[in-house]
Amino acid sequence: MVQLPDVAIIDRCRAGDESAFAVLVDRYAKRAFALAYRMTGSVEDAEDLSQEAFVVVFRKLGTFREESRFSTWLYRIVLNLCRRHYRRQRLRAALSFSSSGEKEIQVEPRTDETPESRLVAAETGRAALEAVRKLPAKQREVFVLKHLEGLKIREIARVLSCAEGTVKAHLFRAVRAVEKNMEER
Amino acid sequence: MKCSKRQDLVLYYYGELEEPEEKRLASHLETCGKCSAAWQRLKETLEGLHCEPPEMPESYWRDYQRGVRNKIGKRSPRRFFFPARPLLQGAITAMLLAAVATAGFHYYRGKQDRIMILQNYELLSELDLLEDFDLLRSLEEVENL
Repeated sequence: MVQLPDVAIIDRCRAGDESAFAVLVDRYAKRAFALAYRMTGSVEDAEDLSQEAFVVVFRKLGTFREESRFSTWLYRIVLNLCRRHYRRQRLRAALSFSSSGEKEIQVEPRTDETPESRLVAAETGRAALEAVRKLPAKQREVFVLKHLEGLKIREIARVLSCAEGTVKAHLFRAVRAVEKNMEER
Repeated sequence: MKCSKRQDLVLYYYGELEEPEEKRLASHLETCGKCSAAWQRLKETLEGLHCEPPEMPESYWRDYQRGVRNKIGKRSPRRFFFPARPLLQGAITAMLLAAVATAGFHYYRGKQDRIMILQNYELLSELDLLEDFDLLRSLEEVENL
């Protein structure tokens, strides 16, 4: 079943095959986790949000239209959950009267690297996440999908359900803001 | 060639320019010092911004799967009422429809009975009235006598 295309696996999921759903999770868990991590900068939040995304997938698989790719749909769900997460953080911050409700960014080291390269990776990773966090919501989403996830502008437009021109406009502004932010550091 | 717009440099970095434009820009960057410097600055900034998520061991992904299953189990009690087997789903739907139809039929019949009783009651009260009329007539006759 591992070699089957997404469409066939989704059909099996719809027919109630739980092992097919496990294959779907296995296939996309790392991507959903990576996107949530790049959006939030936290391993715990990334785990929670990406798992939530699969719960949504399980419940709404019946509404998934096969003209779009499963990964596009999943990305959209993860981003919606990240948006909700940000809103809740902001609300919590406002209620607790603290300056920021967001967690301190902790970039986890990769296990396959030397201490020096880990340090460099952690530094660049932290810089990237901080730059991303300072962007307004739409620019952040476009920048993460383009720069960190490597999606094409066409695909981002599909994920965010907007025009390619809008994606480009957000991307230009995001790159300018990131450059400005890096110059100030 | 005219100097490139900043936006074109961004699209060029991400490989999003159409082929003729891309070639034109590449050759322009070789000759224009100003654009070349802007390109180098942009490239350095963007290349320095990378963020790989932490590498997780295999056991982590097994626990992750389990976590997803647990969350689904907690959030979807409807699965207990509606198992995802098409045949069983069909049978349950048919039984539910039959139950609704039977209940509806009984309700309709009950309603008809109630209407009949009311109609009979009205008839009876009219009979009483008729009887009253007879009695009055009889009384008049007695008075005339």
